[in-house]
Amino acid sequence: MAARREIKWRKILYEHQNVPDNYVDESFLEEMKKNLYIRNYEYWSVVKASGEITQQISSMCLFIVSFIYMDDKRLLPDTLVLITIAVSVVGYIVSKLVDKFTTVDSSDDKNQRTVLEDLKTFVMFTGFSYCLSPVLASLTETISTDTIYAMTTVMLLANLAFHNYGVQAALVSEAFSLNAAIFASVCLASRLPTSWHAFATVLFSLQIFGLWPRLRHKIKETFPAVNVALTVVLGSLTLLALFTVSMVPAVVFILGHVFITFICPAWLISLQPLKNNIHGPWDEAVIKND
Amino acid sequence: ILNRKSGKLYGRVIGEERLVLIDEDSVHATHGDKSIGTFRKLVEEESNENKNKIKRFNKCIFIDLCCNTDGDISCDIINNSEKLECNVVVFEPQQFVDSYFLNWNKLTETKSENIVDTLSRLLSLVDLNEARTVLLQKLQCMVIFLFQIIGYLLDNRVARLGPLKFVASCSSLLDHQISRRQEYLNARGGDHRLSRTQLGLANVCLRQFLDTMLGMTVMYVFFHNNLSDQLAADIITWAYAVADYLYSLVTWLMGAPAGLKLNKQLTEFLGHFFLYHIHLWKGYLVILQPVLSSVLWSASLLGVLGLTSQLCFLRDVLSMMTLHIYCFYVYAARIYQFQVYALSAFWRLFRGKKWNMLRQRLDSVRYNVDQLFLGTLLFTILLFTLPTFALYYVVFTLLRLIVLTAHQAIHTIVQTIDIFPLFSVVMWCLNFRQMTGDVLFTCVTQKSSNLLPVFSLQIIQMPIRKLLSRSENPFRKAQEKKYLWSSLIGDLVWGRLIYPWVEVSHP
Repeated sequence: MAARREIKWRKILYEHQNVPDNYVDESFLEEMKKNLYIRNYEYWSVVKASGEITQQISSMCLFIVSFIYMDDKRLLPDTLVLITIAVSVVGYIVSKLVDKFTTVDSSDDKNQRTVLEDLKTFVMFTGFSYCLSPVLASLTETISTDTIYAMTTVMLLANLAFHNYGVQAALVSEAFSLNAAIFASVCLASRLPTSWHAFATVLFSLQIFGLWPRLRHKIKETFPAVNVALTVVLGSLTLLALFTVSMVPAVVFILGHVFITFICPAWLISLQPLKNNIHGPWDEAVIKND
Repeated sequence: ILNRKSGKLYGRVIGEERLVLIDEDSVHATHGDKSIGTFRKLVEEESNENKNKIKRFNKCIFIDLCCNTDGDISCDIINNSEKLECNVVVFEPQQFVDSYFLNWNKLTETKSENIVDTLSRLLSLVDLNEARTVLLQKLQCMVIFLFQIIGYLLDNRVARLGPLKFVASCSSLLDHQISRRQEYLNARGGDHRLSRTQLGLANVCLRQFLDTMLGMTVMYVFFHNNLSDQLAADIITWAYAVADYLYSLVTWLMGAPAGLKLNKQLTEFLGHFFLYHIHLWKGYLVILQPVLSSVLWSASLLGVLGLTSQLCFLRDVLSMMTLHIYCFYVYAARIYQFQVYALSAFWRLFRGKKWNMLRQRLDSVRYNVDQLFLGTLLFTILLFTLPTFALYYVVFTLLRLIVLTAHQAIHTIVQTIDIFPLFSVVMWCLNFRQMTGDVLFTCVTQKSSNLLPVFSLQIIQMPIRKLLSRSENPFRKAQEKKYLWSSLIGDLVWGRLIYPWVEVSHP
């Protein structure tokens, strides 16, 4: 018996080793590795990165505030349209400047959209919104207001949930989030008195949900430092707007912001040591293209 | 055979069926060596000749049939010098010949163990002299002759081609007539020696006769009571009532029907559209009013062609009178179908997916912002107008289904008359010998106990179900298309048009 024990057990099954098939000697779980791919988060970088979410929430709140103003007849649709167009033009110039800044060489000129193409898209947006706005204005006349508000809430929450915050997750679906936001805006637009109101709402929502995130993304890629400033500016603007509407949303907004910006990163980092990922030779093979 | 005098039996052997056929017997040994057996009246007669023959024909079968004066029958079969046991079955061949059903399976290849099938197969090998009763024979000849004449006169090969075919498929009457002519054409061209053809012919003939009789009765009633005027007035009144009902229905839909909230502008638009249509329909009725009475009168003349033709004409009249309901249904269905289709496509866009036609699956796809924007706008609009269109669609589909049910009821009656094998059932009820198809064996007692039992074969009537299945009309093409309930519900949900389910399967 002793002589047999000297022969080291090998992890094979095609020779008799006089041990049962599921026997492993003391080298059990040697090849297991724990927590290989942990990211070590640093508090302040996470705080800065959380600006993404708060920016999106702020934009959404701005949109809602604009609707409330128009409903209260404090804001005229003409004003809103003018503001939208002005901000669009400014944003467009900014994005073009950022493009020029990043691409030193003109190698991918083909991929850049020309000004003419963008103008065409803009005309198309405006044209379709203008033509369909009479239909939109009377679409939900017979549906009760509460139903409309409930649907809007659900759709905006969906927009927040499915938005692409730069993280690779299975839940992300850019198309769905944009569509949900536009659906919500159409729901709200149908509550307003005239078709001109509806047109203004739809145009504004398109700008704030469709074009504005792209611009943010572009700026963040080139000037990471600007991100923090942007978050702060946007947040304070929204806070001011909410404050003028009523006290409660402003307070909720501040609390929410503080929670997301400061408390959530701390929570995330405090949970990191509890991670217990196990890797080993039993993992699925990942094909590398080296 | 049992009543003849004793003598020799001659015949032939059919190897694969293990059958020996005896053609004739004769007292005189004219055929010499070819005899295969003897028939004797008494037991005592036994000639030496037989014994010699037995020795000579070792390889053949030798049958020794013996009938006593008491009525006992015994039979010995000697095959290769060994005696085989045999049972004697007594039957009357005329019964076999008369029956329509026993020599049915001339062409079947199945070797079933069913005694009836075996018998009919054996019979098919025999060339029985088909000596049916003289009356039926004459009747058959007459019927066939009649068909030949009428067939030449009414050849409807023209109606099966070209534009006439489309016209014919619209009207139920023309359709029915054409299928009838087709049937008669097939009957003319069939093989008249087959008993199936003969039975089919008899059924068809009797059915046509009954049809015409009933039709002429209706015609007579029409003429006698001047029903056509009264009926025309009734129909016009009914048509106006239906138009008024539709008017009130559409006005109800334009409001808030059953408390459902519809899109106001859209409802009003659709309502006005349909109301104008009803107005046009009323104008059409005004034109139709004087003409209808004479149309009905000339239609009752169709009684010559049979009651089924009149019923088909009634169906056509119903179609014409409910034409506006059909139009409404088609409008509503087309709009609804487009809406549902577009809505499902936009819903896929909403989720960021696309239908891959090649692979028949949903794929995710990156859309442009403008595509997404426009798609969502249109999706919202379509979604919120769906209840309105859906309500109109449901209402008009229900009306259309009611009309279709009435159609189907009439068609079922016509179909029943067409398919029912009247001749077979009447003959069966009257217990005619021709309708037998089952065999019955009874045991005949032998006087002397050391003989094998003798069976008597009698042919009795077949059960009615088998009769009905056997006497199917061989000239009519089977309608194969079955309309499933699941496909009907699918069509309703997706807005596809429903056609009356009797006319779709027209070849």
